[in-house]
Amino acid sequence: MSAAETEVAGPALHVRGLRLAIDGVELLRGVDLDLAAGECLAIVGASGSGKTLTARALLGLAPGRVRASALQFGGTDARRLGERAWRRLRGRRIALVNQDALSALDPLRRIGSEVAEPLRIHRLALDGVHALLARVQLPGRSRSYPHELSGGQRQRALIASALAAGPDVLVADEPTTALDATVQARILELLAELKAGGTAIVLVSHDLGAVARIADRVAVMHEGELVEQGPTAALLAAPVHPAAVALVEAARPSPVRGSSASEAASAETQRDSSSSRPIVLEGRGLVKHFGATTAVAGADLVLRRGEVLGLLGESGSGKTTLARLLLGLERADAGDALLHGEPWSALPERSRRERRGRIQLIGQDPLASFDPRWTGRAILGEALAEAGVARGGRADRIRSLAVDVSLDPALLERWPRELSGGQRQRLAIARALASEPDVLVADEPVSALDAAVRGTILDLLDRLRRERGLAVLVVTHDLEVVRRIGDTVAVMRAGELVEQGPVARVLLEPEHPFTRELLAAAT
Amino acid sequence: MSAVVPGARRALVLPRWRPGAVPALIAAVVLALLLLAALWPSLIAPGSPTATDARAGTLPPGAEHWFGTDRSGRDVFTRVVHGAGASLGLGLGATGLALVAGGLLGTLAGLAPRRVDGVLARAVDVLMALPEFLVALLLIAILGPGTGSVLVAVALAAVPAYARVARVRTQQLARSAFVESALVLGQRPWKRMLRHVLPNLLGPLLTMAALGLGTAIVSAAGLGFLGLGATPPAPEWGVLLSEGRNLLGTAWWVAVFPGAAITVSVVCASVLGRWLGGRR
Repeated sequence: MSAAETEVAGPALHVRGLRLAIDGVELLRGVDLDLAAGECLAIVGASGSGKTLTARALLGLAPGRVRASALQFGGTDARRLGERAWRRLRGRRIALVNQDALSALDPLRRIGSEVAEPLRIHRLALDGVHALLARVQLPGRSRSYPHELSGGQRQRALIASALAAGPDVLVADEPTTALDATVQARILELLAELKAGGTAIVLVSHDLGAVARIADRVAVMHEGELVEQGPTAALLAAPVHPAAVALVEAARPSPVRGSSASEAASAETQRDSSSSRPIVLEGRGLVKHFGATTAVAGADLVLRRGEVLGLLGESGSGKTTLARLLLGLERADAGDALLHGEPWSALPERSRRERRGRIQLIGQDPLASFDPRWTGRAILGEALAEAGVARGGRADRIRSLAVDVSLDPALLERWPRELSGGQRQRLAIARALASEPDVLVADEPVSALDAAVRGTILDLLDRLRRERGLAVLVVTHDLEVVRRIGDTVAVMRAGELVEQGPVARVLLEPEHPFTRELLAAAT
Repeated sequence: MSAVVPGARRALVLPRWRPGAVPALIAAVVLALLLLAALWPSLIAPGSPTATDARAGTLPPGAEHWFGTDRSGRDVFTRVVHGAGASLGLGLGATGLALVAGGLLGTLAGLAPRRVDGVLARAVDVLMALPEFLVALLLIAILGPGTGSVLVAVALAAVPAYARVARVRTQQLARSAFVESALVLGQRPWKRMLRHVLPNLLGPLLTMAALGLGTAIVSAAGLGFLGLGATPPAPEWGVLLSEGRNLLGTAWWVAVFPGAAITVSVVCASVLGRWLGGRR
């Protein structure tokens, strides 16, 4: 980016009327973009809006034929380039950082060699590799393989590789989506540094929090068009187009429950009022080892009727294992899980079976939790059969379950794979409700969903808690989920519950340093 | 296990239209014709497959004898048509037997405690290391020649392949999220097996069987050719082929037509099997 910068005439990126159609369907309908050196433009939008396609089209990687009235990188017209010419441009002038760092890196290749690849391709000196790795804070890791790196480190290696040949424009497609909050923050800092160094960045994201931190301008994408563009702060504060408004709405942090004026009791009295509710699920000193690693190291947990407990932690912290211990899906090495004060985890499955209906699970990946051969109707029918509902009454109950979770009953004739992510999750919740359980364990129920859908699913869980007095354990890495529906929260790190308490207290006055770090990373 | 699933539409039997359907359709039609020949040979070739005619020895193909006649004046077309029953029957029977036996063995191994599974899996691996035909020959050596022996030998030789697929698939399914979901609902183990594991196991196994049918037909015919199966006057394709072997120089049609019948049936079974297996 040193020598090239001086030659650059005009903006780093200049795009007019970018169009792309596949099989006669217009996926991009005239996208206009301008980007100056050292500027960061964020393209935001719901999934399927064409963000990623736009990013790929900028690098000549889009499937199908791309047409544009202008597509220039620092004055070079890229419209009529053949594949060979594109290859000379990619990496050197414009580079891509992919969404999924694990699959973007060759598993059999050391990081150093991966980072050096663009240098080799463009016949540049290979001596910069160590400096590049140092720049993304991976010094001395050039001999590591991708599987030896954490998710954040892989993403940084990918960024180093993209930077290697000194591109003027960096296109980053959801670079932080799969990462934990604290790691996300570090990647964003890195991108901000690059920007300060003069690299122009196109950041594709659905995460407005990330966008707000580093983007100078935001462009909102909706059905293949950029419907609104503007300076980040202004656009996020006062969006105009309905699609932009919906995005901003969905991303707005929720007020912490119990922190509003009407419920302005102190944390202590809150605890008192809630402790009058009966305990439905309790973990006592739960321990689980997998080989030499300790997934859960002595967890004590209490879940009361009509209460949402958020189990908050980063990936690998053992929160899913703890949830599985409580569900009796994993045998604890020590400790007990009690359901309604009676033994639960210690029992053999045979004795548990009768009470299985009391505690239900909503999994991380609803699609995988359905038999691929079965339609929604059959799935709910089976759940009702296991709950002891007679055959004659099932059709009505199937309908009412669908209505309870706001799922159009007509959709029950489809296979789950034909449903959208939100619809699948509703179906999973409907199945969990079939036995009229007292406890719902939801493992990352919204992490795979779009922001707008996410809100509706969380609202549904909250409504079920209110209307049915359900106790809900929500396992999540997302602070926003806890903030939105949690009553109490338990923060987990490396198998240990480091802090527990009412959400209002823990989020507003965190005691443990790790909780503070989590909160800082998310704001 | 019939009708246990209310409202579960089967995606198994009627595949959707997609590229490659035309060859598959042709293969299906040819196989249907061969099957008709196997079930009702006299409809297509009314004569007797074993009737000799001393005056009509080794006649070349013509209007009267489409595939010519052999040395004893028997009509080759009639013999090929009547041989379909024995050859396809052996192939289908052996494949069916292998599917059931291998499927059961594999499923049990997949569900068995680790030590039992280990023993079964290693035994299957050892058998897999030997070519199927060799195993079949070995079994014939033990069982003695005859049609029944051929059926059993070809079937047993194919068992390891089915067992292996069934075992791995069972293990995957037993650990899958949807089987766990059934457990969370409180479903009993046998019900989970019948409703969620077995039906999902069946798809890959049936695909394998469709592909294995061709191999089984060839193996059965091969054993017949070696004189280990049906006894000579009977019109089994392998036997026919071996009868024509010495006449190749003078009367090619005696060997070529049974050979073509074997080839056509194997190719059709493979094309159809591949198409069925390539779905989704």
